Amino acid sequence: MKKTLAIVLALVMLLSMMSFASAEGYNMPEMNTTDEITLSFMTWDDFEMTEALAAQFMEKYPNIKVEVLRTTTADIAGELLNRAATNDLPDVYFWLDLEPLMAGKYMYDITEYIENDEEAQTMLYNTLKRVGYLDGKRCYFMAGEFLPATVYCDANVFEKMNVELPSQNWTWEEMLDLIDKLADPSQGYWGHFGGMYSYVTGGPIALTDNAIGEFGWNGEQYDFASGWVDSVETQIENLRLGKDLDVASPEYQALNLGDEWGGQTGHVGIVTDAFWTLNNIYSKPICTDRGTKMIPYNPPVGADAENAGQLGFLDFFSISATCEHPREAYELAKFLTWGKEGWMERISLFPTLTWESTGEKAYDVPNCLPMITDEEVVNAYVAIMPDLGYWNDWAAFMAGIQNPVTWGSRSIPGFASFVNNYYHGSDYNGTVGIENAIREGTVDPYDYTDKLAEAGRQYYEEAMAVFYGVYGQPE
Amino acid sequence: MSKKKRNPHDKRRITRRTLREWGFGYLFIAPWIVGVSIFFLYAMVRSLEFSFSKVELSNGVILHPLENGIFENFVKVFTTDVNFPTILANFGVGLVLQLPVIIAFSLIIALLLNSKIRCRSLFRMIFFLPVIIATGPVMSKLTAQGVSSVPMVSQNALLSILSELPEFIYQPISNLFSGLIMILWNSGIQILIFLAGLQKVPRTLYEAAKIDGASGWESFWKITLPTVKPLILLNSIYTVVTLATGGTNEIIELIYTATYTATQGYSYAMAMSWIYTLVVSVILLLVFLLLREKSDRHVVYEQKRVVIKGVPVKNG
Repeated sequence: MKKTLAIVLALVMLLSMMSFASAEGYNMPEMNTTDEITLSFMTWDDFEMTEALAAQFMEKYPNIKVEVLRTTTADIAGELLNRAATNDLPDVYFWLDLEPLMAGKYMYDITEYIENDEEAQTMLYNTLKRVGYLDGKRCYFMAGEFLPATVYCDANVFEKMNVELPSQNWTWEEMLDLIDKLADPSQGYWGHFGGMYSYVTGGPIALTDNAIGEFGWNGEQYDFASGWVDSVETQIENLRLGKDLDVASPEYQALNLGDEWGGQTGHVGIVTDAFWTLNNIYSKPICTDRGTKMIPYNPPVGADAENAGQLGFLDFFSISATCEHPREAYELAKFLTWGKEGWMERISLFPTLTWESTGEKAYDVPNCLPMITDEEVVNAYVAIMPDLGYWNDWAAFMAGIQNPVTWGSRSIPGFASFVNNYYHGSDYNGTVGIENAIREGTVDPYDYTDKLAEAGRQYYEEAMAVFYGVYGQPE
Repeated sequence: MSKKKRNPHDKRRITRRTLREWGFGYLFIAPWIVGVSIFFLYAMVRSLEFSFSKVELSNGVILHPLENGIFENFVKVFTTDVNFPTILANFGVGLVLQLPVIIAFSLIIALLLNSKIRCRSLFRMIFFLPVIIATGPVMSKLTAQGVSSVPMVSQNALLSILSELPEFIYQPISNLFSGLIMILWNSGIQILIFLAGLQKVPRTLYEAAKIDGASGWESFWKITLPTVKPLILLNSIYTVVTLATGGTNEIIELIYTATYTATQGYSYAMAMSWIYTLVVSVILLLVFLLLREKSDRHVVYEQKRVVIKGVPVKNG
C-alpha cells in the first residue's frame, strides 16, 4: 500500500512539475499546414544571399515554395502602397519607413510568435526583442538586417598625436576627451568628423537611461534633458573650436585635399560613421596609401547611463496583414533574417557567394551582422571577418554592439513629422529650427527641453491615434 | 417668310469629306486620347476624390468621410504644415528669377548655334545632351555631388553684398547662383525650339534689312525677336512646367514625404498636390497673359514685313 502511495505521489509530483515547466516554457504554435503553399518575400538588398537562403528553406520545408520579390530602396515605399491598394502585399516584406504602415492595415500582429519563440526570447539582442511593440503590447515588426553605427579611430593619427588608443568598452565621455586631445588644426589634424551621424544623433541615445531611440526616446516619451543639450552644444562648439573638421577652414584648405570626403583624408582621429565604410573606403588605396589605419569601435555609451542604446542601422520586416499562412511566414522570415539556423547557413555562404551579374565574389567583408548572442554564431562570424593586419579583435567588437537602436523615422511613430515640422521647421526667436537658433545664440537650449519633449509627445500621440484607428486598441 | 438659301461656298458647311477628315484626325490622336483618359484624367479625378476624403489602404482602397468637412485636408495644409507655404513661396520667387535666365540663355545659345560656325552639329548635340541624360535620379545624384553650382560661386563678392538683403530676397538669388549649372542643363529643349524658329526666318529679310542699312543689333530687334516671340511664350510655358515637375523640385518631395506620414497620409498629400496644381496653373495663366501675341500687334508685324520687303534700296 505504501509502495503504491509512493508511486502515486511521485507521479503527481512529476505531473505538477511538467505543468509548471509548460507554464514557464514557450508554446510556439505548430506550423499550420502541410499543403503545398507559396510564400512571397520582398527585399531590396542581398538578392543572391536571400535566394540562396530561400533555397535552403525550401529544402527544409518541401511543401513551401518561396518567391523572392526584388525591389529597390527608392521604390519600396511606393511599391508597398500600390500593393496595399490592390490587395497584393507580399507575405513578408522589408520596409523603410514605419508611418505609412500604421495608416493602413499592412502588418500582421506577430506577438504570439515572438513571445513563444524561445530563440527570440533567449538569443535576440534585448533592444530588438521589444522594438516592434508599437503600443507596448502588440508586436508588428522585427529587425531583419543589422549594421552597427561604427566609430573609426585612425591608429596612424593617434600615433602622430601621441594619444593612446581606447579599449572597445570605451565611454561617450572618453570619446569626447580623445577628440579634444587629437585636435590640432595648426598641425593639420582634427579630432572628429561626423560621417553618417553626428553628436546630436548619437549623443542623446548614448547618454539617456533606457533610451531606445533618438532624442532619448524610451518607448513613450523623449528625454531632451539628459543628453540632448550637451550633444547640441558639443556639436556647435567642437566645430567652432576646430576640434571637428571644417572643410571650409583655412587650415584644411591649406592641405589642398579639394572636396574629398572628410573621413578619408587621413587627418582626422575619430570618424563617426557606418560599418560598411570599412570595406568601401578604408580598405581602398586612397586611404591605405596615406597610412590610414582605421580601427572599428562600437558606438560608446555614457559612463553613467543605464541601459543606454547604441545607434545602429536596422532594417525591419513585417508579415502582411493579409498573409494566409502567417505561422509559416514567420518561420521563413526568421530563417532569412535573424534566426540561428539561417545565420549559420549565411555565414557559410559569405565567403563563396558570387554576384549573378558579374560572377565576382560577392562579399569581401560580410555586409551585415548577426542579431543574436548565440556563441556558435558569433564565433563562426568572427572567424570569417578579415584580419586588418594592424587590428583583428572582432570578438571584442561584437561583444560591444548588443544594444542597437535605430533612427527615429524607422521606429518612432510621429518622429518624422515632429522633426520636420517642429524641431527643424518651427520658429525659435526669429530663427527657423532649434539647432540653428542655438548656433546663432538666439535661444538657450535648457529653456526648450520640456517644450520639445511635449511637442514630440503630441506628434507621437497623433500618429498612434491613426494607428489605433486602423488596428484597434490593444486588449 | 422667305427661306434662306445656303451659300455653297460657306466654309462652315460640314461636308462628308470634312467629316471623313475629322474622323482620320481623331483616329490618329486616338492612342493619345485613350492614354490620357486612362492614365491621366482618371487618376486626376481619383486624386481629387481622395483629397476630399480620408484614404485607408487596407486590403484595397477604403475612403472614409472627413470629420471636419470636405475641405479639412486643404485647410490643414495651410494651418498645420509649416513647410508647405514657405516652400511654395520659395518656388514662386525662384521661378520668377529662373524663367528669364533660362529663356535668355536659350535664345542666345540658339542664335550662336544658328550662325555659321565650325562643328555646328557637334555643338548642337552637346547642348541637347543634358535633356537626354538629365532624368530625375541622375540630376539628384549630380546635384548631391555639387555639379549644379559654379565652383566657388557661393563665396563670390556678389553674394557677399547680397547677403545684406532680407532673407526672403537673398535666398532665391543665392539659390539661382548656386544652381546656375542646373539652369543651363534645363535649357536643351528651349534651345531646340528657338533654333527651329530661327531657321524659319527667311534669309531675304536679313538681306533686305542689311541693304537698308540695318545693323546686326537692329536686325535682331526688328526681325529676329518679333519672329521668335511666339516661341518665347511656348518656351516659357514649357519651362514653367519643367521646373514645376522636375525631379529635384522641393514641393514634389514634400508631397511625396506627406504621402508616407501617418498623421498626414495619402489624402492630405492629394490636397497638397491640388493646391500646387492650382498655383502652377495660375502662374501659367499669368505667363500666357504677359507673353501672348495680341492680334493687332500681329497685323503691324505683318505690315512691317511687307514694308521691309518692299523697300528695294536705300536712296543715297
